[in-house]
Amino acid sequence: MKVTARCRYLNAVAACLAVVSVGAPATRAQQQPPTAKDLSAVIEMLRSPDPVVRVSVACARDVFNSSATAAIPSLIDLLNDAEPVSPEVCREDHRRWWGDEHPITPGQEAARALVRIGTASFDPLVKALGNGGATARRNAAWALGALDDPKAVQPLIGALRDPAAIVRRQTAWALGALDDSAAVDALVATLKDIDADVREQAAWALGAIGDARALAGLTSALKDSASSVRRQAAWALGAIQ
Amino acid sequence: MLTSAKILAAGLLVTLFAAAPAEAQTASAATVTALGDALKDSDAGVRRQAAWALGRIQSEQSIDALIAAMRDSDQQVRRQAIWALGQIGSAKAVDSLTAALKDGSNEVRRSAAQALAHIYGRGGPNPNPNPNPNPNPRPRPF
Repeated sequence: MKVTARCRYLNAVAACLAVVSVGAPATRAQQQPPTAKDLSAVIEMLRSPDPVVRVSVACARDVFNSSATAAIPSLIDLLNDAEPVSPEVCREDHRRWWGDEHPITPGQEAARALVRIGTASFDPLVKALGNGGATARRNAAWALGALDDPKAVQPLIGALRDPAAIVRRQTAWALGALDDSAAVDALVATLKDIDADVREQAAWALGAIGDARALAGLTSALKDSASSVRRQAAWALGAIQ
Repeated sequence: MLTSAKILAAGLLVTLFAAAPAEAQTASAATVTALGDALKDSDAGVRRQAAWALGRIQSEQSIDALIAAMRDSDQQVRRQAIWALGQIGSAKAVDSLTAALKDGSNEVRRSAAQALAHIYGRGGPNPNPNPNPNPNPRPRPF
């Protein structure tokens, strides 16, 4: 019963996306943005009660580009959505990104769609990093790391003091991905976080940034109580050379 | 005109390469000592990673600790230590590396032979047994 309901939803999604494609032939040669009417149908589906529909729409590659800014508020609303869905739903995308079989969530796919939209997502994402649920803040931290705009460094440094460990860990990842020396002092302080996963990710970020100012902090981390942190600190010390 | 540009480019290259080894010594003595201690960590992954880091830092100060790590119970640690000694390239390690040519493991013997060839050949290949020993970079988002 549930399966047929999902299939019906999936068919509806396919039909609607077909409409989007017909309305704007999304061939790579001529990139026509979807019309406002098409986009409103997509936004409607982002609010579907079925997580499979929400994920399918959010990971539609041809829809979310720099001309889809009207969808930003709905995607921001979706960031806190942690309902797990099979990666089959967005298979093509996920194989390209990291090829594993972990479940995916509408919140993650919304974060990816926001990154595809680009610069216009920046300010709303910074706002989501500061307020919203823990899942939304985590997904926003990831998106800010993936957007690759150095303006995100300061807000992310603030998020290293987030009450939720998953947010601090994703933030440490984002700062390593942005590869900006301005984050070194804050990341060195994070080597003393109470959560071992956060400390491990901070050690990784410091190795990725490769700034010699981190050497003393990383040397102390070789005495961490968690072996995962000691391992990552030893790697970072070699990587900084 | 063209030749002067070439000379300039060559000069730049020489400066770059000459500057590289000097910069490889930024790690403090305290860091090298701590990594030497980490070669005795209870976790084999930490020991492996510490040997790799010492091979990157290439401080003569770590030679004794790395020679001791060549007797590690974990084969990957032994190989990383051998690789690191090859990278440092000191004659001090030659006897221990020669002894490792009789190690029970094929892979360890091969690493020792490569490290020795690297030391004698002055810059010949010394391939790391595990070119990306970073245990868990977790660069991926979720």
